[in-house]
Amino acid sequence: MSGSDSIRPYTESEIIMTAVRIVAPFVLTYGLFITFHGADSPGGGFQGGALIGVVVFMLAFAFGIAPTREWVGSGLMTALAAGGVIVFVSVGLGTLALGGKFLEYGLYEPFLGPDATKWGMEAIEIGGVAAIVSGVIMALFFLTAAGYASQGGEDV
Amino acid sequence: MNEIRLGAIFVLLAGGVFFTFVSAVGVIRLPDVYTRAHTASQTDTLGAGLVVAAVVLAYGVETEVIKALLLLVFIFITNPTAAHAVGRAAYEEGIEPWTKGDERR
Amino acid sequence: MSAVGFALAGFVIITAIATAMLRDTLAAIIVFAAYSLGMALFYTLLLAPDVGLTEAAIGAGVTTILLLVTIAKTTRPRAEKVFTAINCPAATLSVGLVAVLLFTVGSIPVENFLGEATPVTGAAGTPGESVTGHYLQSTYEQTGVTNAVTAVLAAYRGFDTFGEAVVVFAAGVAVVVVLHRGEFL
Repeated sequence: MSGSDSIRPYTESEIIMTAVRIVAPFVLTYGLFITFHGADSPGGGFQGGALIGVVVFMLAFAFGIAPTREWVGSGLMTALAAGGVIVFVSVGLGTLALGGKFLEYGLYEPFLGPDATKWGMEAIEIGGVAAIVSGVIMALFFLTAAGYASQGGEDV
Repeated sequence: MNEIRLGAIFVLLAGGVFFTFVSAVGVIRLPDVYTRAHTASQTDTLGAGLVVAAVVLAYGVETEVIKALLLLVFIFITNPTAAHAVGRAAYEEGIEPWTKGDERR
Repeated sequence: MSAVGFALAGFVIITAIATAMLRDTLAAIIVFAAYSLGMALFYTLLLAPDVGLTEAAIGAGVTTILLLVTIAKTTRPRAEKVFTAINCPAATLSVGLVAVLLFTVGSIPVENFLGEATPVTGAAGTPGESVTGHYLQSTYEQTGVTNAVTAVLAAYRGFDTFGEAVVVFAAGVAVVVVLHRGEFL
């Protein structure tokens, strides 16, 4: 940010940091609840992943964007976004390998028991969509905040 | 007993609507960003707070009451913080607070 | 639709027009956030809490923050007028398009304005005869989850959701490419 001190990382006031410290665990819990409980209540991977990403936004606004970016790490964001796609694809291709159609969860019944369809959907929602959305949202935020690389953007 | 509860719900709702209206008028009428942030934070803290309190009374003893009370707690934490952030950002931008005799109205 | 519904619909329409008309980018972003919030309430009122939750989290929350960060990194053009001038040909075209689309509303397979039954909603009291009723009745037996929306997303239309998730991933990759970041961040 333009108004920040170059030596000390830009942080908001003590009041904002305290409020974020109090609220962030609840928002993270709510995001995880929406993600993991999406099969039986409103919500799902998309909404829950967005809320998990928003927790990182809050931390970044309270404690400074650059320190939060280093704390989260690009590895985690890459792993979430790419890992989510891999999980989704492998669950889908697994049914193809078992001789069915793409995402035909019923074929997992020999391994997962009679609730295989439910477990397959949970895997898609939690390991796939929620991971992709949370990783990409965090990455979009930090990338936008860092700016254009070859035109005076911050070093990352 | 039920009449008292109904009356209390009515009073709380009326208070919530009143404070929301007052702060809406204030946002339009007050001169600068600091006074406006002050009155805008009233909408949520007092207006929404009183309305949620009325909701709690209307539900009686149920699990929904816990959700409403949690909502109240979060409104009381986040909303003054938001008002503080607005005021602080305006101060760091170098906006002068309104004083008596200022032509801004 | 109740009085609250009409009030919300009016709010959403006014904020949508204001978003398009405001010259100041920052003001447009804030009004757009209000539009998303109104839309989220509207979806919830129409008994679609899943969509309402998405609109509140993505539309009102994430989009607003990303646009604000973009403004902070780029420039906020100083606007001398509050509202932008209306581009008459474009306005005529969009109003005409909306009018044409409104004519097709009567044939959309949901319960129409007169409350008549259609293939999606089915006749009143016979949920099994409509598409919606079919999902509501057989979702739990077929998939083992109680939220029919999640079942449609992840099981019945799983391939579509797969495409959607990959599009989100591709958006992240596209931003990396556009901002000329060699490695991911």
